[in-house]
Amino acid sequence: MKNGFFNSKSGIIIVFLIPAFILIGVFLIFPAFWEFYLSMTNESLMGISAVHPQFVGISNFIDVLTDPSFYNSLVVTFIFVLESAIIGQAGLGMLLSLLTYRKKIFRTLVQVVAVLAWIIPDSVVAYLWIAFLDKNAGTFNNLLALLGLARTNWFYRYPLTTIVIFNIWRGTAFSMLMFSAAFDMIPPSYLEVADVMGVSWWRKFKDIIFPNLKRVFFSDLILITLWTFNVFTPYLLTQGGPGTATEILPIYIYLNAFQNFKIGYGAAISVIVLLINLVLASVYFTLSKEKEGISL
Amino acid sequence: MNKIRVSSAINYIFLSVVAAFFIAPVIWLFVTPFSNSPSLSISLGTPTLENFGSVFQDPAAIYSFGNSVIIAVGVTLATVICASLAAYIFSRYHFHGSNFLIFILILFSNIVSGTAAMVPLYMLNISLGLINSYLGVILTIAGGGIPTSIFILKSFFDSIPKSYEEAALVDGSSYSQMLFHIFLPLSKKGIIVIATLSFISAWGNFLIPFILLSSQRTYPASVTIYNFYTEMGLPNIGLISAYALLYTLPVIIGYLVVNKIFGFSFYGGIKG
Amino acid sequence: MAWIELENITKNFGKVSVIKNLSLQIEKGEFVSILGPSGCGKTTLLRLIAGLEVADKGKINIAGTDVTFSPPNVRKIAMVFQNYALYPHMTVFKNISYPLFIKKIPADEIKQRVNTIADNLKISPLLDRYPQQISGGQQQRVAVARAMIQTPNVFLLDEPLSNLDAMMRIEARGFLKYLLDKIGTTTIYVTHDQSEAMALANRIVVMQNGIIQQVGSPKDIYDKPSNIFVASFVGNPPMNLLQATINSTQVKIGDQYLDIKESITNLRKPLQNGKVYLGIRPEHISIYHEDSKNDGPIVEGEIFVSEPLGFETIITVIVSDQQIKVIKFGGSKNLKPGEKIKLQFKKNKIYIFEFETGYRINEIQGDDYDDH
Repeated sequence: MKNGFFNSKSGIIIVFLIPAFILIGVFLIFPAFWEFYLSMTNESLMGISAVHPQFVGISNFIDVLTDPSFYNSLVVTFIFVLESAIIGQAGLGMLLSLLTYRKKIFRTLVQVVAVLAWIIPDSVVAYLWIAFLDKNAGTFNNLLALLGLARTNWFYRYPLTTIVIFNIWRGTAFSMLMFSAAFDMIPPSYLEVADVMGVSWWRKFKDIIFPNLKRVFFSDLILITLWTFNVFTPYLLTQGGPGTATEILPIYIYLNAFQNFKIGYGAAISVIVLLINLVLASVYFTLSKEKEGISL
Repeated sequence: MNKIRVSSAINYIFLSVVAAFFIAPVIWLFVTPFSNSPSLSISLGTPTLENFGSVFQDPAAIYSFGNSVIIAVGVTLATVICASLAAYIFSRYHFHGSNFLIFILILFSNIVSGTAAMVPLYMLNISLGLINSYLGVILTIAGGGIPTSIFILKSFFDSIPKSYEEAALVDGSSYSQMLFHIFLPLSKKGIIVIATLSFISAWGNFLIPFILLSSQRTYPASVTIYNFYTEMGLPNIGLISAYALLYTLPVIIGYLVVNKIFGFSFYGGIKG
Repeated sequence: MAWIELENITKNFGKVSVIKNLSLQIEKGEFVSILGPSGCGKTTLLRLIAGLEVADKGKINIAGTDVTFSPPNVRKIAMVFQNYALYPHMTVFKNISYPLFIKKIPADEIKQRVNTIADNLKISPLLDRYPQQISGGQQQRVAVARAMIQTPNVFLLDEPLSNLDAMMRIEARGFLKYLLDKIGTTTIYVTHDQSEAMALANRIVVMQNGIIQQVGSPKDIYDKPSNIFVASFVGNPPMNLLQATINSTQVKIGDQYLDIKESITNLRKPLQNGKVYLGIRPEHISIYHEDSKNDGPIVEGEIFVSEPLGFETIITVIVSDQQIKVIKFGGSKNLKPGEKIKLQFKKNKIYIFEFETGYRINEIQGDDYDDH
């Protein structure tokens, strides 16, 4: 053909795709596969194996799976995800969008404060919560004292509950925005007809709102579950402590790989986390694709 | 009638409590930097700008801010260039399974980028000689965010009718003239949104620089703030609060920009 | 060599074959309309000529140059898109001048040429506005101006009137014809609206399923449709097509025999006894009274409905379970549904189409345009 490479269709396609695919390939896809390899070595940042890592087969996995602290992390993570993401963020997000349906001023007000909590950078929100919950001077304990209640060191007395509530505070905005947008897509006439027929609010939710919301609902659940599963922010609040009370898997990986310098071991935990994530994602897909729909 | 009024009153009380829950921890951020006796409780005392003065006297605070700018601008450039080129192809040339590919990549980026891949990302940066460098941080953050950016840009590009580009070609412009005269100005909004979102996400990123950077001199503000309040000794609350506010402002401004273009419902999918 | 030559063009989108081995020649200065229903491949054909699509097979020549694989920008064409595709970020002036700007024509000359064309198209007051700020009809003129400011080998127009409302369309159609006649540049005009094609073109190309059904002057297409598709696509209301059986002298519709000797004197093909379609345009049917002169076969039917449209009335009549539309000029008194009625077909306006292929098999004679 007469035109040069850059004017030909396939030339443009290749040239335009290359930068993105190199970055994605090197910094996203390759690391995932390398992780599998690393998990089968005794790679370390310290000592002899730092120089000459060796292939050790599945022994890292055996170590991980026989380590009680791994199971502690696993349980902590599942509680954290279930309570803060699925029940907390999705539940509160749904509730808020329902309660502010067609109440523009209230919706905007709640959205603005929730979005503020959502967008402030990690290291700032962490300190805001440290300040907010400080036993002696924090705003929350000051309020309790005003009401005549005892001041409490929340990070020590209720560590997991505290980061659960922190994470609800942090992430509800996303679910609320998704659900609110989806509600607004439901033609008002659907709900008006239901009102005329005198349908109860629960049936309205179950028969009209939810079926129209299903896709958004599952996209939201997939995303917030994966995000919460992989969130590192609690580290900035508790470093996993006290003890191992808030040692969710990302913190557990970090501590093993970068504080104990056990790279291979850390990789093995990460591989397990990846697999759990994949299973969770595919469970959601299966559920969302079922024709009959999910009844709550 | 009464019943409805009671239930709507309960409704409004509940919403007010929730709003208070969201705003309460944040109030401190907007009050303490201006307080002459900064503490962990909220008290303004006599308003002052002294705390900002102490920020500008702290060298770590200043160069960290500069580091954050370098990293965030780098990520923004890398993301905007890579994602808009790729999104253009995905939007304009339909090939089988491209939607599925983007979808898988987004899923992958949500699963892999960040914590679950921190170990191989660290090793990768060592192998590439990028450890403890801005470039390593920039490329690592960009690589994780590009799939979502491609997705958002593609849906934006899809909404621009192809006939503008065709008209330009028929009017005699070459392919590159068409891209610069017609397509780029038309997709400006979408590109601004992606630039803003990737800037915000890189600006706020804590984990990647925390792992990949090892010298204080290279730390961005996210890591420096963390060091401020976890360092030994009494933290300088006035400095931290003022610094935190300055560090947060670009994020708030960025979201206002995105909101102006699309509304908040156009969610910041890059987060995470 | 013709000005534009399409030679054995084939174009597939995936498994769908959109253009099938199509050849067409267009002479310099012609105004050709490509007419067909949506999905017939007419827009694809135009886009192939523009270079926005590349043919899978075949050759395209424009002005003596093989442009089969050339990108649009070197083909020296100008195009008006169905949605006008006015650049939304440019003023009307910038839009019109864009083709000249690309050619690096000096600013003074651009300004002068834009002003001239804007005067011609009566859009001078709009030059500083943005496309979103002007009406649909004005947008259409701007799109035409952007095409006309060039001196192209050919104008390509893709349904340029279809986005206008019915009133505007008629007005814009007349104006377009006036302009294009004045300039005299070769024009290819794609439309699904047969009245536009009839009103504008010197030559009409009727397409269906990626194949050219007939090429001819508007009058030929109307008077001598080569097959059922063309016959039924051109004309409003369309030609009546009645299933019938035929022998050498008579045709039978239902249980009625019609004497059509004169219509089957000039057959291209020997007639086999069997099924045909009998075609007759609504305006070539009259209501038969005892005192009418006898100039064609007569059928009996029952009025189904009559729709008075002011000047004319469209009457639908059921004849042996088949519907026939009749245009009657003047009033519609005494045309009550259910009433018996006799219809007379104008004898030299009866078309016989082969049942299996749909092709017309009788010659139509005479150019006599009777007044109705």
